[in-house]
Amino acid sequence: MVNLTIDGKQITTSKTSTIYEAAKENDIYIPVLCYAKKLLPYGACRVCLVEVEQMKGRLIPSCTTPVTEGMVVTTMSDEIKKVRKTVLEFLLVNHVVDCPVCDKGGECDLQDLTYEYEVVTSRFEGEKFDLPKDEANPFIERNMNRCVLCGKCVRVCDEVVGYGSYSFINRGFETKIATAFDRGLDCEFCGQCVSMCPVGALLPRPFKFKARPWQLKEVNSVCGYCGNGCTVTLGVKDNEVQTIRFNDETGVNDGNLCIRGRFGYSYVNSNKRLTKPLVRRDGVLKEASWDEAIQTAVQGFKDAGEQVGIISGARLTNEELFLVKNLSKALGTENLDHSGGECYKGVTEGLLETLGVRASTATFPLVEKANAILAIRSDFYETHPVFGMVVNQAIRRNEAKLSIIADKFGKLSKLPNARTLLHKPGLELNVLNALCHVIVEEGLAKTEGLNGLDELKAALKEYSAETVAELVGGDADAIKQTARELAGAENAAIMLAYGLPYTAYSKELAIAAANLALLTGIAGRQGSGLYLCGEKANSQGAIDLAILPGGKGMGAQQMLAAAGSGELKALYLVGEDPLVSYPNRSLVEKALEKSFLVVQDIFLSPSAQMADVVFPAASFAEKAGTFTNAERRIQQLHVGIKSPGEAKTDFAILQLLLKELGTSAPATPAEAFKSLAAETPGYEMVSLDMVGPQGYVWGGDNLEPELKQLVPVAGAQPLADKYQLLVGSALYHSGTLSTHAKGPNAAVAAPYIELGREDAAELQLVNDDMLKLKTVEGEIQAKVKVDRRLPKGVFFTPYHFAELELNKIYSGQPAIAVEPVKV
Amino acid sequence: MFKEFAKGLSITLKHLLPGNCTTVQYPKQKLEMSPRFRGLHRLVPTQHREKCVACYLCPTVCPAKCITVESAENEKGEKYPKVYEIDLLRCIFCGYCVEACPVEAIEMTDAYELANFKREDFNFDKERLLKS
Amino acid sequence: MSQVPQLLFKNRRPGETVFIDGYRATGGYQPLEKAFREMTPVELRELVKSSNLRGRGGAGFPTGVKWTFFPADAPGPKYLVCNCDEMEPGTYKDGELLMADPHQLVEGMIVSAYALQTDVGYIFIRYAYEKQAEYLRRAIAEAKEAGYIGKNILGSGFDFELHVHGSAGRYILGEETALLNGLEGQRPNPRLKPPFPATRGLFGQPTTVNNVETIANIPHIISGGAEWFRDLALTPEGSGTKLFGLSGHLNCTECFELPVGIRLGEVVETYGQGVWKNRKFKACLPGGASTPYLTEEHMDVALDFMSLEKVGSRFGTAGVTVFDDQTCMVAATLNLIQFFARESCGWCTPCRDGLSMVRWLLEKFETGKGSPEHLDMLKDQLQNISGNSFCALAEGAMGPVAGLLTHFEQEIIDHIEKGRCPFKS
Repeated sequence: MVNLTIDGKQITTSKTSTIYEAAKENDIYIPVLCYAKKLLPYGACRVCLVEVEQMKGRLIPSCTTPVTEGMVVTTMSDEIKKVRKTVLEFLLVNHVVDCPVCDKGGECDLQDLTYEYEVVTSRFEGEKFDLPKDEANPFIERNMNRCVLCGKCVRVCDEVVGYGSYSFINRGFETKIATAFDRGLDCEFCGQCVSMCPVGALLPRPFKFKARPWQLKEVNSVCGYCGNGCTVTLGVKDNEVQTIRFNDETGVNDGNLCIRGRFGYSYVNSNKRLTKPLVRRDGVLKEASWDEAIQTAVQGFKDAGEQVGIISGARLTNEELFLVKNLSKALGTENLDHSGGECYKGVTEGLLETLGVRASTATFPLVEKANAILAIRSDFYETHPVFGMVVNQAIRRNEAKLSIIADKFGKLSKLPNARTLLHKPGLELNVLNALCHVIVEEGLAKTEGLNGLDELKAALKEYSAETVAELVGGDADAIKQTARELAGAENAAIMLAYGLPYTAYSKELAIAAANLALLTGIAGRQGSGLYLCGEKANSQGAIDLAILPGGKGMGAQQMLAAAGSGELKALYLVGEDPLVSYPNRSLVEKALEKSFLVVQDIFLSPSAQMADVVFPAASFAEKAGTFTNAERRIQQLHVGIKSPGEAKTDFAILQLLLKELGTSAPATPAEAFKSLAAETPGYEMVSLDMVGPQGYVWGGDNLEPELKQLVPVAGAQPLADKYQLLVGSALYHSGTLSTHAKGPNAAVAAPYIELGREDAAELQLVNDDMLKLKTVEGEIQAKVKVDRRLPKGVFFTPYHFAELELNKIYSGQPAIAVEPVKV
Repeated sequence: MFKEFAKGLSITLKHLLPGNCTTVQYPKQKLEMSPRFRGLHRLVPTQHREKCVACYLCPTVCPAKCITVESAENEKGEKYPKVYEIDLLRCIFCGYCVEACPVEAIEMTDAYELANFKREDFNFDKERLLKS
Repeated sequence: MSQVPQLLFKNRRPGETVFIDGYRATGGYQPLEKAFREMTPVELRELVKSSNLRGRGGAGFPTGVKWTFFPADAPGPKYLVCNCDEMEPGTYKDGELLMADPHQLVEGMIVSAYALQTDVGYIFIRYAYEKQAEYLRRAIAEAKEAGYIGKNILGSGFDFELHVHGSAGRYILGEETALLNGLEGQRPNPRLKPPFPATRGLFGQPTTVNNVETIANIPHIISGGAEWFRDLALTPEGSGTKLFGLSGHLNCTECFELPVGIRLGEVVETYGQGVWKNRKFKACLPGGASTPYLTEEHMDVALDFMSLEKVGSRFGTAGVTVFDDQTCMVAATLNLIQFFARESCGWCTPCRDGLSMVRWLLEKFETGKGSPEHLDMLKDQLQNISGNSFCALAEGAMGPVAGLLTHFEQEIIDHIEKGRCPFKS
């Protein structure tokens, strides 16, 4: 700790802080332009200059100068004021001052400072630039005439996002920010640069000319897409979400968002939303009153007796899931499941078997301090982009060693010094086993308190790094190096992302990852963690609340099979579109056709079109409640807007159903939380007041494993087929929901089949050619996207798009053997 | 006392004489307003469009909250008021909107005959304001 | 003239370049052998420290002291970088030195690397010095063949690699941290200090950056000793000799090796052979374009770091540029500022926009459109820009402006009053 005096105030602060940070902690105001909390000190704008008695004779930039013992700082004097004013005059020399039409007007740092320092006229004259605006993309508008060259966009894109779209070009007065070769911006459009820009040089295009910042009501909520649980601050006006506001004060994400979070909100305002309940009459879905719809649904359930199944989505709040569970009790059925039934549930089961817990063992911010990181599946960055940014920071700030077990390259592979353990499709388990083998073999394992070590050792015999490397087509030394790094790191993280497109061997994968976590001591050690990341906003909540089949109940796949065979009479789908997103389309189709089907959704999804009753539900922006994210953080949603038409929140709909069934239901989400907390393990001590702006992590930063059981898992053999199709998630989309949002659609509007250059050359395909993939079960076709990230013989397609009908050929296998035909 | 009485009456009588009358024969005769008079608003047109750039300062400053602006992007990519309405029934003619305007797009004319028959007629939209 | 001891220009012959044979013939590589066989790195560093050698690149920081900050004994990769990005207007000494005798730098680099225990060295050379780079590469190849570069040099167990890296050619690359960025392949912006290069420099490792002339002096210090080196200077505080690059309105504009502390008058009269065209001396930049002007009254000032600081200027790189009495100092300063404003890296506001505005003000005066308010504004900028910028570029750029305002304010006032430049008819 260091003692210093700022403006006569005695201050004690940590010795790593700068003068600015010390002042800010103590509510002493120093103006800044280029400083940003999450970026490294920069010191370019020179607005934050202060006087330090020990360094008389010149002014000191407070944002870059570390505090020293006994420092005496003055933050304002006539000289300081004059210099700051001159700096502002300099900045205004070539600034266009088009505040009336600039969307930043009202929250512009330059405007505020100009006002504060009364820079009424500039004594200087200089050239105003007339640089062309960059509107090449639908997300980010770049108007470099307004730029003050604080470099925040350059830095955030490099330091946090790890993409590096921007750089300074030219010299002197003509210096400007540009993209490579000064072309239009073409990046992954996460919009971090937009959120950091202190002026109107970078603006969100969807919000262009929509409103003034002061007209917006800000509502903090939690992003409804992935399990990362980022805080999104809705900018609401006229009962519409106009934009997502920058907020680095609340939540886990430090103000960072991905394209989905920042630009994918528009589905909320979509005019295709369901606004009235629909009931099938004479074979046609017709609008109906709520009473009629509820009565029809309940009647259908009653007719089915115990033969009812409920499949819920994982974008429901904990409170709503609680009601779903109550409903299953009220209906007297144990056929309850969520999100395809496999994937994330399988992962948690695997973890339960080995560690005795069903969730990530640590929190995201800890990863920033990790020395070694292992990401399983290259899609990690694409399913949980903001967590990917944390990994990037760990690498850049902490020189963490990153390894990726992947069947294709991805963004993570591009990070500095990242090591990709590339393997043939479907062989993650083999690589994980090989890592365990190296650790055991080289005596690096932390074996204390582990059960089943001998069995594991025996089972690992066949998985020496060399054998596995040869099988998967990788490099044995790389595997060994990764194993040593993981075992030797003080803090390490193993990350495993999961979602609907990966239904195969999910449990085994979790076990293999847990084995590795146990052998390296990562599980349960302070600062280290095994991270399981569910695909949806509340995947973890659904597991915590046990939206799972009861004792004799059926899981989702079994329910669909049973419904197809007529065994199950009624199905209730809450926020789920199995027809598009579940594997094995014919099975799903048959099930939905044969059963009495009630669908609750915000759009008339393909599944809803087959329903007998459709309930119009509400989006995340319209409801209150809590989500539990992938690090066990319970966070509150707040109501931003009213639902369109007669649409109701899932909570309200479930209340109606429960009442119709003659059961009582909690009156409000808050009340529901109280009840659910009482009966959910881990939530017992949690009350809503504890869920503050940073949420509440149940189980604490480091969740102690209840078991330390090593369980051998067998690897797989690669497919022999020449061409194999991988199914996965694309960065711009999440589930099927984002295909209704303008933002993600503007980036990727239609399904595609991605293939490597070699294959493209061999098959004589170029971008946008139509490619048909044939299998025994059927065929799909989509446009071709040629990229460099796929190995030879491997294709990739995202599962989000209904029109692809991917599940005609996808039935949950790790890789699909296909025969490509150019159309 | 009588003297004062006569004096007062003489003033009255004087004003009865032609040319000394202060009554304005409205509506036959109309007063000329002072340049600072705050009458009906007018949106200033330019050659191609309204001068207004829809910066939202007038609705923000308006104490009566009688101005409705909705901005949009025109085909040239410029910001323009898709909707600009003043509810004259709420307007208090304070002139803050004129003062706040950064581009001098709104001014107040000397029109004061604002009576009308229907409530809707007091709602001045962009077209009416441009013509006023 | 002949009595001046010649160290760096010992082998200099017009139009010739000395390579390994010629260099060895005059005692070249003997200091290196002495250092490797008889001295420890610590002794070497002590020697340099006691020689009082000050950096020849402009800032004049004592080299020995700089080396004490360097974690020479720490394990891991460390780098020695030679700054040969000589781009200051009026400074050309390093180019001359390398044209004459490139082996001096190579030897200096090896010895310095040994003293600092760095196993890799880079010579970062200005893009325009193509010939010099070629000679350096040849010299390095020769040194390698002779066993002075490579593994286990002279059986000492010390390894050293030396590379020549061509600059992309920007003035800011002369700033040591910008140079490191440039060497890493990034945009050459200066880096934030701390951390200083000695702790986190090139590729994040400890690095020392020294000027060509500084490093070339090291072998001479080894062979002659610290005391001898200190005594070469004419002033007690100074040490060694210095390459003076004469330019401007002189009869002889060449590069001379002269003792530190020589009188300005002697440099101008004896070596520059007086102001050209029989005109009178008006002013000079004593140490390159970023130093405040000296005038007639400073003729007796000793050219070394201390004495020049006392008269409000700096020794800089000892590139002496002389202006005759028919020079418009406003135009001369404008010319310099145009250079600096163009070469600003654009990072910090005072330098990027401030220098442009100073240029704008000087243009106003020069074109006769200036006013007394503009003069006040210019004076203001001295305070607003100097000392407030991120690196030393803006501060250096304001040097001539400061000199202009101290010594030639009347000239600006003449410009304002006449409404035109009084030197133009």
